[in-house]
Amino acid sequence: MRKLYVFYDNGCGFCRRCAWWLAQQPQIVRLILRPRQAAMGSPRFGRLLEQAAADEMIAVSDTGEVYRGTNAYLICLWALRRHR
Amino acid sequence: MQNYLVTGYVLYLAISIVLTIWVARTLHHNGRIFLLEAFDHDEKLTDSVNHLLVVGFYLINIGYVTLALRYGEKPLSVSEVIEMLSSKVGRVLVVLGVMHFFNLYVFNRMRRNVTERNERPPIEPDDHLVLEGGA
Repeated sequence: MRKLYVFYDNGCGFCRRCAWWLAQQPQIVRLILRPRQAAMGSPRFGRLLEQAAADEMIAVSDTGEVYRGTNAYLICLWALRRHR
Repeated sequence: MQNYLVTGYVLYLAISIVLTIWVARTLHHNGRIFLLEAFDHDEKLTDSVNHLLVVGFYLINIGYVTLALRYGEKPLSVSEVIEMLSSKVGRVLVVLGVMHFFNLYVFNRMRRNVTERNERPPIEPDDHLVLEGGA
């Protein structure tokens, strides 16, 4: 795994702060953080995001593995140098 | 006494160069497997880097030995020849050692990065997405 796309809820302050924190950490796997509202229309992730619950955090690796909810949270920590 | 000086120099060069060759060969031989890990088991790249490292090693070390030849006190007796040899050869050994540990440090870092990158996540994915043309 080289890259991990992380979709967060832009309407929630806590989620935005978490995304900001993730972006600051030293990463082993590169994290690409996107507000899910903005990624809704993307051809690659749009369908996946529309089907997911609105409050569910979603992470997708560059090889197509999808992690939802708690798993998404864990995989983000696993991607960080200090928290693996 | 010119004789002591010349004998000392010749012995110094001989010992240092033999030591350099021995260390270089040992590193070349035993370092390969370590480099292989650092370069993600790319044999061609490993052999190339290994060879280049040995060349660099010879250049730095023989360069140092040559430059350091004239410094220090000139020996006037057999015991002073031995003293000169020990301090000069000792310095060469320390330089070799420092270079060696620096190399180990750098390659170990590279190896760690590769190992980390190839590690599999501890949790199974919930789903799979077919990404056209790669993500």
